[in-house]
Amino acid sequence: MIDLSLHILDVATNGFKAGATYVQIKIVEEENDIKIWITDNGCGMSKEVLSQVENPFYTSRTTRKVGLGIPLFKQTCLQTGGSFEITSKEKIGTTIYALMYTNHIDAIPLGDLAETIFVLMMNPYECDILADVTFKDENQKPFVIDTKEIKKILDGVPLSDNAIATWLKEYINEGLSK
Amino acid sequence: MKSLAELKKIREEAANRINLRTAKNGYRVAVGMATCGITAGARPVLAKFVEMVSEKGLDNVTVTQVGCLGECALEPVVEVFDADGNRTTYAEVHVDDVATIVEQHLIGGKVVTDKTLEVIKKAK
Repeated sequence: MIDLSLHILDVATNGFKAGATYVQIKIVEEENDIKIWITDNGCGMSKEVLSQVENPFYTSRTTRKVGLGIPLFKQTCLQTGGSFEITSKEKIGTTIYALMYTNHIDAIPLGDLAETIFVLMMNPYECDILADVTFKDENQKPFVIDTKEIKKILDGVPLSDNAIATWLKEYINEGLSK
Repeated sequence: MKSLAELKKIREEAANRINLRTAKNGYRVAVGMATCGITAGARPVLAKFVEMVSEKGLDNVTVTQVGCLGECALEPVVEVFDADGNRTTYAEVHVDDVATIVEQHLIGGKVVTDKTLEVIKKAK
């Protein structure tokens, strides 16, 4: 993965496979680090699965023998001296917490977060997405978008409608641009 | 600066358009969006499809995402389903290839032969 926004997309889509109806992403950018929380209300994991999930040679899939999303994200954090934690409870959901130091030589850029949020919102599983971003520049207004709110406004018109999707993409871009 | 109030207006226009839509003869485009696809560049490909489909006013085309399609080495992989459910699988689809697929396949109805999974696999 070349940037954090791709890790966020990758790990957040795990929630869809877990049957989540709500995935919440919180990003707090500070002077020397970025903190990320990704929480889903999917099926969660048992202790056995949880103990294996950071192992690249573990996957719940039967079509192949590796699962790289979580271990890659973890490595990205740890190589900057940061941390990475997963907590999960069966039938409740899973939360991932990632801390990456941005002033470390091995830190990777945040990347196109707008495109990540947009693509997540366009998921075909009817899963709602909340994104909450706080910037290191105190003068910049935090950006919050929640498809639950958006769907209320849309009142039955799908998010994926071409005109709606285009508008949302621009709205997210604007909200995140510095 | 965009506001959610503006979204209401767009919504009304969209709702009218949907009511007018009669034929369901469109395509469904599914972009593989698992770890393998994402690292290979699937996210901008999906965004580009959405952008172009909207730009060209292709109301009967839906763009969606799927998990790993089992061809991790040939990602980004894109599937195009026609109204009868016939599937065309494209491999190594990058942002620059999207326009060709939109114009030739989604508008022109002709498969872009040299980007199909079959042809790309054979060439390797």
